[in-house]
Amino acid sequence: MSKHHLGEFEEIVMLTVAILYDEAYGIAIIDEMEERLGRKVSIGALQTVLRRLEKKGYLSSRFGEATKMRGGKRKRYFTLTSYGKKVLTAVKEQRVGLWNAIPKLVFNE
Amino acid sequence: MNKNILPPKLPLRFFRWYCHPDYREDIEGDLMERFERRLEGGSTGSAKWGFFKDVMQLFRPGLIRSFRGSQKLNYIGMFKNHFKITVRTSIRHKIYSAINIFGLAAGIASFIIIMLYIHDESSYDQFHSDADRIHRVVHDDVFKAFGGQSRAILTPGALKEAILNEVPEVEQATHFHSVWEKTPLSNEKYTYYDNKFLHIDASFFDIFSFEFIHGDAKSTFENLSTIVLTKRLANKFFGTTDVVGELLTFDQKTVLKITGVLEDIPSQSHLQFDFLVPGIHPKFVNNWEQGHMHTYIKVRPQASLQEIGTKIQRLVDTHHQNYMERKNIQETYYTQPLTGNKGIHLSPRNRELTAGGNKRYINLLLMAGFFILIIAGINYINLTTARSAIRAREIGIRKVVGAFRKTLIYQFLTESTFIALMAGIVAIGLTEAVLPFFNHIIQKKLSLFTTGVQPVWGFMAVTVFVIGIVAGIYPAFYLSAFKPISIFRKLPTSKKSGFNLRRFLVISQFSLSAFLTIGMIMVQKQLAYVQSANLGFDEEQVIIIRNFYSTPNHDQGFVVRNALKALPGVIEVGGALESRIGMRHSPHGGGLKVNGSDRPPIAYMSYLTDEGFLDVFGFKLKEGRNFSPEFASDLRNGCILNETAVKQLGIEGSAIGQKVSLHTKDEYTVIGVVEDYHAASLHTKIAPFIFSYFPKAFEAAIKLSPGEIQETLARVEETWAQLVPGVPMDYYFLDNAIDQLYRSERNFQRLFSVMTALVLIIACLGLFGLSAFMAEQRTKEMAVRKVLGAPVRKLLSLLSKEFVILVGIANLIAWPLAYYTINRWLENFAYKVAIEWNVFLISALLVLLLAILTVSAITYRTATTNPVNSLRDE
Repeated sequence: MSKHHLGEFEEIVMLTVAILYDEAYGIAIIDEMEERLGRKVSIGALQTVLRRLEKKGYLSSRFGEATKMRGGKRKRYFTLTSYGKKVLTAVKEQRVGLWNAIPKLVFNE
Repeated sequence: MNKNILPPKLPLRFFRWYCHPDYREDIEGDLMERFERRLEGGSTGSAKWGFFKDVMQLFRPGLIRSFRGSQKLNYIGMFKNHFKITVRTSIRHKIYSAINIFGLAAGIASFIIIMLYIHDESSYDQFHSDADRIHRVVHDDVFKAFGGQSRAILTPGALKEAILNEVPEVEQATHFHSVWEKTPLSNEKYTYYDNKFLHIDASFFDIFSFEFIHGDAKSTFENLSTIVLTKRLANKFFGTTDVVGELLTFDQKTVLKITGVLEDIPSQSHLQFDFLVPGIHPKFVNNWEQGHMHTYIKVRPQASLQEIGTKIQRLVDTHHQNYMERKNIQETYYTQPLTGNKGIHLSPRNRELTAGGNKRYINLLLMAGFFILIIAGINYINLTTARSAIRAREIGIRKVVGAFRKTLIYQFLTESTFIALMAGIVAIGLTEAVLPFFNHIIQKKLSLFTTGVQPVWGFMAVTVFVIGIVAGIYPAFYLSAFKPISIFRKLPTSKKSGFNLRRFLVISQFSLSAFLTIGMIMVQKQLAYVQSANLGFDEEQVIIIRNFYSTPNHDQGFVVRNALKALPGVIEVGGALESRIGMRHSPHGGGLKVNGSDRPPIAYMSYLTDEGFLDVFGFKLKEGRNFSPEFASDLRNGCILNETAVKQLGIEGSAIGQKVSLHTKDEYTVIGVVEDYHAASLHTKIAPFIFSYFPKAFEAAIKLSPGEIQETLARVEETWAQLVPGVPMDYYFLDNAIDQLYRSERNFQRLFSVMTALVLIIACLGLFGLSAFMAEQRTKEMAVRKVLGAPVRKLLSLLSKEFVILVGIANLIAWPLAYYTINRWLENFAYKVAIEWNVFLISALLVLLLAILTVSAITYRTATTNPVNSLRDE
């Protein structure tokens, strides 16, 4: 359990990276999160989490091609590693397990 | 068009500076992208602001580059590594590290203590505000008639006003005088009886900042029947300090009102008093005759002291000339600073009110402190270079991997500084641990944690770093010069040069040790001689009653004396005008000569005594007879001389019957001659003495028989109380007083002995480490020798011989140095012990014995190990 511990923000970031699949770089992730969750995400917070997840081995990254946009700087695309996928699945199962364990009565009311 | 607008420069540069290089490109790209998007969506300003905000938000621990171990910026990375290696090697070789750290710590600790002592001695009188602008007017006197000299402090009473009027460089001036006689100060409950008080004038508190706890200076000088007490005395009289307005009777006739209570006088004040009485004796005011006043001035900032001295001298030459001519004295006036090296405490003059310090001792102690530091430093150098083989491989690897020699030098300097730092910390603990003991023997209150000792801390920090660098510099160069190739091929690493220097260092260590040991023995001998040499009179079991003149009249004085003499346990009672025998004195300015002789008159000291006096002090009559009431002529003109007087007067043959005269024109007939005795400190030569008959004792000296002193004393006090009601007997033990006289000698002697012991211990510690290492290295050689049949004795001598020879040479070197230095030191004493050759021999034996014991403690173990144990792992 503790092995797979993910913070709430970390989990959302990983999920977003998964959603964007092959197009997950910094700005895209922020846009996606702001759109879907309707919450402000600061670039600093996101970048820190991304690097942390990468260091933990949940994400891997590669550079894209340089374009004229962005001052000629390359994008860094993030993808889930298989370990990251496993962790996400485990987290999801934990959540589902919790949901399932709730007596039906609670939400029927 | 938008693309021409660039993001703000400063935030971008900031970002590039802090961002981790791995992340820099893509995050910068993201930043640009957001900036471009914001430009499209809004104003340039808000885009720039957004960019700035993003940059600030990115400034987080996870994204900032590591500032440690950056290759070009600094050496912190290497330093960290050096530090780590230092700690590891120190822990691995515990004994050697302990020797190094403890040796240095002991050195630093003793240095700290010496610094504290010196700081204490040299910070006298600094509590006065503007202490550096306060000076005392002093003068050097030459008695032209007989070449006598005096470093005087008492000045004419009119001088103060004259200085204020005619020397513009002087801002303020004050003068005061003390009295010689003890004076009673009393109320109905308590009587104070001493002479520790001053008659002051109204500007006293303008110059000296003694602190009032009650009352103030202003009300004190409003009228003159006032008195200012110290807290201590106020407590004695009233049991409380808030006593302003109370009355006290001074000298049994004047009623004085208390207008102030002062905080107790700091021990670091050269002025020590119990109370102050405003008002200068009218006889002294406006008097240009003989000096009675202590005169202090506060000069204006940046005033030239030379100038002031010249102007004062001019004043004196104008007004005081008469007196100087009449007395045939040349007085040279100048100013002496209140504080510092030439200040009043460290450069005391004749007839000071309180005993001063002694610069000479301070210098010697400082020297001993430096020696200890040097010896401890040498220990470090020797142990580190001797054990270089252990570090050789590390050095080789570092060099192969690409270390510059400079880096290695830094490494070893880091190491030595670290060791010195550890030693410094240990030293602080050590100092705190021994200071109470120390304070006890030198009767001071030294502490590392009082205000005002910050300079000592500063000095300590400097010492630690200097030691670290100085002790480390040679090993650093020595070790860093190793060639990797010879290390790995196991060639001997330049063994010879290192070894010679090591020998040299061991020799210098033990030379210093031997030098100090000889010094210590001689200092002990000399000071013991000074303190207990045959003073020519017997001061043991003598009490002096200071207020014997309190006995109502002369007849009754005799009654009291006879009553006391009749008590069991009292051997003899003698009286004198003042019987402060053995205390500091300076010869009288006038001259003594044989009538009709054309020899110049000599300076002399005179005592007015009765017939019991000589017996009390065990004076031995050489010829003639003692005073006696049966000869009426004794009272008129009888006198007794001492041998020196007879010698200096040039009397040949018997002195009895010779007529002598004093400068006062009194004529005396010599009735007896006594053997010389030493009065005052042995630093001064015996002065010629003349005793004349004076049966109306002002002070009395009582010789008690040994054994039941306390009982006898009780009896004496009882008798006194009966015969002199109302006045408490004021007395002291003469030997205690004499003891007090030699206090600074004794302190110095104790300090110096402790320092010498420390030096020996530290030097032996170094020798211990060195021989342990040598023995360890030769373990196999010893084992082989043993197998081949060498006896233990042979092995021992093989291992120890070198050190013993070195220590022997060291002793030989120390001898002439010690001889020279001690000779110089002894020149300070008028009476000195002879330097005997056996002192050198004893100290050499002592040092040698210690060295042999140290070395053999180690080598014995090596010599007696079973060869199997040392050979089997080959």
